[in-house]
Amino acid sequence: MITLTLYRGARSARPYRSDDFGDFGELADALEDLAQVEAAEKVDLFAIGPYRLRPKSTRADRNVEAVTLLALDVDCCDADALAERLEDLDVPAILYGSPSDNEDLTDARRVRVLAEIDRELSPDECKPARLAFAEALALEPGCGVEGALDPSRIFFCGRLEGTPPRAFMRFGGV
Amino acid sequence: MINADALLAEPLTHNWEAPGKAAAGATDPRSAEAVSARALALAQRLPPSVEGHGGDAALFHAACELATVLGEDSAAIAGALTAGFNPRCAPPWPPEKISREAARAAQREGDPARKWGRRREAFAPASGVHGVSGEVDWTAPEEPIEWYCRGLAIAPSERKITLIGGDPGAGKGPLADYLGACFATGAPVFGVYPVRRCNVGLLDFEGLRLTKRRVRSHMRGLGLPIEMLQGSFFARDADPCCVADLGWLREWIDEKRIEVLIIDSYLSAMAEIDADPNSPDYAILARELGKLGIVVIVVAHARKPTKGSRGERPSLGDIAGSFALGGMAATGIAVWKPDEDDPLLTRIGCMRAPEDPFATIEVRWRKSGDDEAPAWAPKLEGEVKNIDADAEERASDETIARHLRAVVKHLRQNIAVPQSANAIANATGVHNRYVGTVCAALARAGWAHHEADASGRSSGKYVLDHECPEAECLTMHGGESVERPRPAPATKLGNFRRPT
Repeated sequence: MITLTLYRGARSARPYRSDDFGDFGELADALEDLAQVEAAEKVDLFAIGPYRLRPKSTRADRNVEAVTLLALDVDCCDADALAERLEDLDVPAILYGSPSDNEDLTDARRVRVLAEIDRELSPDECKPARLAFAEALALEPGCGVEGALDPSRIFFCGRLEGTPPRAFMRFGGV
Repeated sequence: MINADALLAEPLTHNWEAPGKAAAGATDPRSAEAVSARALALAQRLPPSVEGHGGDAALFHAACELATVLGEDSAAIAGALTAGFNPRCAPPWPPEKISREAARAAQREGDPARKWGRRREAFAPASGVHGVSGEVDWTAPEEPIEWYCRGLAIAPSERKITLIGGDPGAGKGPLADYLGACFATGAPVFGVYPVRRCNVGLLDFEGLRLTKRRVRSHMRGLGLPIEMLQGSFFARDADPCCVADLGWLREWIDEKRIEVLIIDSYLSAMAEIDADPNSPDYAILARELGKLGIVVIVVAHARKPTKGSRGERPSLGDIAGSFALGGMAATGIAVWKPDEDDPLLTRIGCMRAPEDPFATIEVRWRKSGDDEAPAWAPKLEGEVKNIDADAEERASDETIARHLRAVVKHLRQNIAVPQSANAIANATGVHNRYVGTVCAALARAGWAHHEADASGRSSGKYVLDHECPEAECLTMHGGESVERPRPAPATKLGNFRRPT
């Protein structure tokens, strides 16, 4: 069971909802829909938290009960090279374009990577796990991963009005 | 899937210290080098001076900002201005001007008494207890509200101000200038609403040249000679630094016997006050202006500039700043353009009033004369019509149902963006009170809820639940309840609308 916490916009610290997915494929289907939802401004987009919060708590590191997915926020990368590396690793993962991703900037793509792990992580394990995963994907300091290591970090999912549909790729047989 | 234990066991090969975080051996951020670098970076980000658009104020503002980093070192401030700020100015300032402003900023930085947060205004208390008046004598005759313009609910308040709020370009400034001309001459507002003739003061923090031209055009539109304003309309160009000490303002008001003071705009006046617009401290100037005890009309910007003006009526909560600024308004006048394609049509509504709110009106700005000497006059569209009263009809179930479908459709189209009742009303044409009725019914049925901020407080904006059925599937009974149809199959994360 994989728990995903959903927020409506950046301004709300209270989760909109929290869902338990039976498998990673089911989660990927839901996220593929979510990635195409439009909003006028980025702060109004939906955002996901790859964790489970304590009941009736708000978004904060101290309230994270468990981190349920490996999540990376890559602000500057060659998405094709990253996709190749994910193929090589052959692990269940998805890669999707962030709301501010521009497919024309081939060397400066802004993408998110979500990968399934065999057990939930404690909040303290979140940072080293994400960094280790980033290194496994041949990412280096400066790509933006280091700016999204806190366990309660949310990741916007969707697109701004008028922008093209977001890239969404699945790996590892998802 | 990834083995978490194996992943964590692998040692990292890179140094992933986040950018900006000082690593061992890095430059001490307090060193002179680091401070200079920060000051230069700041100078390069500050808005440049543009001639004719508050250039002097922008230069002094930049100098004061740099003084917060460099302290009282006027030479360093001048150096940062010269290297990072001046090249972007149009035109660049001469060195002596920069040195002069740097010295002023350094002196200001070094005088703690001038820093806003440390001042204690010495308004004399009415009783022996500081800050508390004498007890109310309930047997004394009732004091009527001293209306200066009953039609727009403008009256002086002992602690509050009058806000004119709206999006950029909505017509706030022209309205404020026009009101000033009316008060100074006694001309009825829009030719309809009587005013109390009095002396007017105007502090323009956004450049007086345009205001002077505008006021002259209003006087021509009123058909009155400009000479009438001499001795009754006192307009001054103001720099944000002047609000740090308002003692001069009280003297000026007393000297000129000003009864209506116009501030254009609050945002510009607060440029040098280090207050987050979303904090209660942002209202500190409004609190001090309210203590003047006269009519103070403040032009305030809406918090979320929109594309054009989007036709949305602003509320007090939309006015730039926290709710504290809106809370300082005894009278709130909303200004907006209902039709972006018709820039001369303005709607003026009541956000708040001392007693009864005034009815929403539509005003069209009409121009006569030539470009050299234009005459602008706002005229009411048709009769003084009470737009709110147009919705007085008793709605049948069918009407309510129609309103329900319109509101749900609008909320569904904006499902990721919480909507205020005003926004829904303006977008759908459904009257505000029916929007409230429909949204309350949707909330009771569990199809909608209020958006909550980080502390759990309601923002007053509505959010439609993703599982709410299509509008056509809903029925409303007796204007109170929304019938819940059979629940749709449960899906994870709700039914997101796929783009076509």
